[in-house]
Amino acid sequence: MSSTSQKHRSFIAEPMGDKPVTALSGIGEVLGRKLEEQGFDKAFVVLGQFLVLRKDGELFTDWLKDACGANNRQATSCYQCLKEWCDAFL
Amino acid sequence: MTKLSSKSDQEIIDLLDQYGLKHGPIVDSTRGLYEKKLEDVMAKDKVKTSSDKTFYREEREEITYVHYRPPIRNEEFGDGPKKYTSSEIIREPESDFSSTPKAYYKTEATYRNVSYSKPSPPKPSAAQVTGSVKEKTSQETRLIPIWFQILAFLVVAGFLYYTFSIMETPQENPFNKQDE
Repeated sequence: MSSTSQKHRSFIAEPMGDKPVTALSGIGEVLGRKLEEQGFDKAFVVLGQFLVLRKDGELFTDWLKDACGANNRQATSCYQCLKEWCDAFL
Repeated sequence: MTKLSSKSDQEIIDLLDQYGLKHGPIVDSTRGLYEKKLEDVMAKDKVKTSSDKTFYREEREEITYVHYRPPIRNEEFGDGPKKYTSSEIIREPESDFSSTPKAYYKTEATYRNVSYSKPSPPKPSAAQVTGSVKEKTSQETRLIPIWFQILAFLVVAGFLYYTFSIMETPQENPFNKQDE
């Protein structure tokens, strides 16, 4: 697959705690603000959405594209990040 | 379809199961996503069912043809059974399908009765040829109406083009003569 970003590696390296939503890989300033407006201000809230969608890649990326206008690459990056975090810590 | 947002969570879940979509719990944050997915699937499904309907029509017409054909040749036996079979066939679609196909079959049947009774009594050679052509074309109506429609269109188009080309040639000749 594509090489993972520094953001991705640092996110999956430790429990997410109270990290903001922008700590997720694929979620930058603009997407982060849109998510915050909808109540997804912390990374763990997005994790909750990810889990309630049964960790399904298609559903989650579709939701993320819908919710904050992420493109395919950003949504997939965020999905990978959460999935690997779950594999490590859940 | 348009009332997905007014359905209860349980109804949404039932619909998702019905269309074989994977889903998790329906909560406020996921409901919009699932409604969208359902709309997409239902829109696709609608197209499929409408194409199925045309397929049924073809089948019905095939059956009516098989029942109808023999009585024409044996004219003495024809009248009684012919009416019964045709009326039976008309009733079947009435019970199975909605009102639009029903009207379609009725007009079909009446049309056929008229078209067959006309060409049989007068029998000059030219009329026989046109009669056999009519039989052939109406055969195809019952077997595959789309074929027949395309064929009829091509025949009409060819005929019109033929007449057009015939009419054009005499016009061209005087025109050329004028130029020269």
